[in-house]
Amino acid sequence: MELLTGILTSTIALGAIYAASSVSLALLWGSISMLNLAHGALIVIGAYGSVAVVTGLGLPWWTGLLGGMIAGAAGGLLLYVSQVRWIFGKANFDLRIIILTMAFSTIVVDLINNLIGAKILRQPFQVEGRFVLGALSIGHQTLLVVCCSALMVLLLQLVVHKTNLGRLIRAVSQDITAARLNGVPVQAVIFQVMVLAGIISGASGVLLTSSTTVYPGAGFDPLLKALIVCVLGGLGSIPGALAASFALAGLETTVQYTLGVKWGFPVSLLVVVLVLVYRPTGLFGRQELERN
Amino acid sequence: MRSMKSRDLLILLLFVGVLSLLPALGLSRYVLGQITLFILWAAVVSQWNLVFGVAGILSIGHMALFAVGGYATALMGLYFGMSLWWTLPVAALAGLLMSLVMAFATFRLRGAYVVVVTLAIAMTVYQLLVTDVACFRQTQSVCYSFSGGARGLSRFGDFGFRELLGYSSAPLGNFYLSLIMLALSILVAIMVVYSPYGQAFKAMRDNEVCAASRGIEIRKYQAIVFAVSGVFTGLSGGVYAGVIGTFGPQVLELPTLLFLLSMMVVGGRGTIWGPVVGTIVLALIDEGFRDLAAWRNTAYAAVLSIILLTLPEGLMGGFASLRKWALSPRKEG
Repeated sequence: MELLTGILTSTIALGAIYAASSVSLALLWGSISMLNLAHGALIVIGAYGSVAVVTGLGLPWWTGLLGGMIAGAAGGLLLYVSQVRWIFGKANFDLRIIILTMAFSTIVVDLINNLIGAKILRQPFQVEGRFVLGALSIGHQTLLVVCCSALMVLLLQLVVHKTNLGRLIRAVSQDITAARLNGVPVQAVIFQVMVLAGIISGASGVLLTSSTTVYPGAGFDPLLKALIVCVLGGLGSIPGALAASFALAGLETTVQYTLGVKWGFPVSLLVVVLVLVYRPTGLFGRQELERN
Repeated sequence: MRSMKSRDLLILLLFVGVLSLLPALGLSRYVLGQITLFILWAAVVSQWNLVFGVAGILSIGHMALFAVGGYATALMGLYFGMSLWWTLPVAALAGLLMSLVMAFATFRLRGAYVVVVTLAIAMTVYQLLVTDVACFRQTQSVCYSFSGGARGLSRFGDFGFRELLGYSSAPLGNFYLSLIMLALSILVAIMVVYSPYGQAFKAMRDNEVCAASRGIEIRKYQAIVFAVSGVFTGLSGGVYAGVIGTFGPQVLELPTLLFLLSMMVVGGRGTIWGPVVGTIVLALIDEGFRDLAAWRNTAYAAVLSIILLTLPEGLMGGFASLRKWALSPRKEG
């Protein structure tokens, strides 16, 4: 019983974190077919943003999340200005942006290493205490992370489905040419999507590092996990990313509790690969039709 | 077609001939060592390019094939005390097996899915290596794990050039062995590109639906290109382990990946000579940033970004369009 509640609470906590960090990848792929390998860099930028605001400026701990969002937005903006706007819609955009974002994240990690230093820092976005209900005992920190993640995902869904920006994003994702012909300012929409993705990535960076630590390479592991989550859910599908987050979190925690921590990731990768052999576009992905 | 092939074979002959004369310049030990290293990288990138550039399968986990080859050689040298020459076939076989794993995992996938799955496989290999800390052998008070963990392996023997050529000439042996590896790698690339397979790969890359409807069995060709590349990448890994003398999980880290990817993309992916041109450029940058080691990765990444933003087909693609522009008839003004 104790094992079961342990697995369950860990799954919810881990799943919420996965969800928070993978929806921004799903948003970018779904709207502009961009596989953002700089996602890890945005996560790290967000984490350092929070440290800068709270530890650096001495503001209260909860402003860390805002600091992370602002830093992430700046990162998304930079990504748009330095790369995306120049090659969007050009030949081989999808391949070129994969390599470009990889280069972007290398530069970010190098800059942090050289300018701030490789020192391991503590994420100040933390609360103390535990919530106890019978046999169940959950740290306030876990509750905070789960609530923030849920809120963020919910807000993103609202933006995509209920606002004017969301309508434009969906138009661009369905058919760029048609969107442009109908007067959608495509570049402006892409700019807003990039900033939105930056905000989510930055905030998820704060949430992610609150249970670990902040260091220059802290974004890589979450990037890899988020990529796997998105591929399992079907690239570009936000509901798919949510379902896959909890499925993978459950699998990973179960394996970690039974076989050992080391095998969590290898086993989940194996399962994902086997799923992809039968469903090459993931659980919720659509088979894309290409015009030749 | 045939004349193109003979042209490339001729270039290969000249290129290897010129390189083989380099030691006659009386280069220092350090410079010769660096050249040897970059020759091996060029061999790896040429093979990677067959999968990534020629066949258009976006595998970025290719260093996993290199790693298993290197580990096969290092482990057999260490635990069985074998001459490293005898471990090379095993390194090639290890590369082949790993490449078939990659091929199986990506059979039905496309584009970004391939990128994610191959990267994840390579990183899983990396994490399994780094977290391997269980005691396997003990020397005095120090405990070593089976694969050497994060430290990697060393002192597993060499190719015996020291006994054969003497201490001072041993680097020459390593240099020429690496050069043979590069020549072999490029030769294989030329053979593949101008074979009917090469034509099928190009057809697959340029228009998969059309290729399939013309009766090209995409999966069969994908498996073949992965297998060929796996054999020679694994072999390069084995040669690298023997030449450098140490082998560790660092070859699977992101900076190495970006470094090799830059060689391919800067030179021009999908072309025979692109990886070679790219390696030369990256070697020059590497040398230029010798005193600024902390900024090396930034320099590679910056050059890679500039090339991708301005010349998406790399330097070779840039040359080609320049030539086309120069040779095209212009309207009389």
